[in-house]
Amino acid sequence: MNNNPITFITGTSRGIGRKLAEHYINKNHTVIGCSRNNTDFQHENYTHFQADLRNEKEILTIFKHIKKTYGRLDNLINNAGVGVSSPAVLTSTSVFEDVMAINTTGTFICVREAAKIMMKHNYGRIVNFTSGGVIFNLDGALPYTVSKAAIEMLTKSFASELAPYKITVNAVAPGVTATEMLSTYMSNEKYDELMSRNYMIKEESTADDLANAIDFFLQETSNRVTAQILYLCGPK
Amino acid sequence: MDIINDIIYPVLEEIKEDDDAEFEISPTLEIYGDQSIFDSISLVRFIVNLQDRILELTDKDIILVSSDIMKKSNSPFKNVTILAEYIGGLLENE
Repeated sequence: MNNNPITFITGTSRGIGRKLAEHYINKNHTVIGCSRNNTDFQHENYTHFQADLRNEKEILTIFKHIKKTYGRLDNLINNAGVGVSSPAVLTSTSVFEDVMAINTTGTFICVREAAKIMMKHNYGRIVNFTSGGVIFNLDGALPYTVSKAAIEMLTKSFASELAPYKITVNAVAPGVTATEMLSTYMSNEKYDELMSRNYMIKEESTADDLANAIDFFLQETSNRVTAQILYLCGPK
Repeated sequence: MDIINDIIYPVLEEIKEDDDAEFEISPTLEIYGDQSIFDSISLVRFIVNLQDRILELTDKDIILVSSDIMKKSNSPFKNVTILAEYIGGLLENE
């Protein structure tokens, strides 16, 4: 019988997700991770699934594995997401739908399926990822900010409905972090402007900063902490 | 497979035990309606566990609730017997 906390993290092949997988392995969690691409990360307490969050069947396969193998799920960290940079009027419908499918629908399916497992044990911790851009109206990234705003409402709705089952649902906004994803859709110039204009703390968040916030949400003693949105770096 | 004895009754037993509830499990037991044994929280848990049990025994991932199903006057969740017929139909069409 596995007594380690069972933690499922999405988007673990790189960036923050990869660091979080390592962080929770080091804290003796059994970690299940997924990403669209494969990963070179290997550990006896880590299982990786290659899955696209736009594909419900692929997500359900992971949850079936969790149910069958461990019989429970303690923590879900919905880290996976995509960002796009595009003026609103030039954003194609397919780009909008794609971002919503990965960021919002993917998160929705993962929370729903995790909750079904957690409900049986009257325990669960779920952490979603939002963005400071929702607060300071980040422009030039409409599908991204819309998808993150939806995640905030999704977080509060699930938190309310899952509270009777002692499952908490919260969200964290990483602030600006130096990841591969950011560099693909934001120039250095835009990045500098973003930092200086929109954040109180004008330093990049690291994966450790994020892990610190998520650790708080995952603690068993955080049983009264739900429906909360925590923004790192203080978006203005 | 006997849907009442193999699927529905074990799930009802589980909920009864978990909730420390007092009700008699029978084919006429009302699941959803004025005399329902469940509050909304237990009802959701019952349906989730039921779907799980069906998947476990049949390897079929069926969805028991659609947006209009609870509004129907002839709800398939009226009682155990009616629910068993409803599940049987869904399994046949899978």
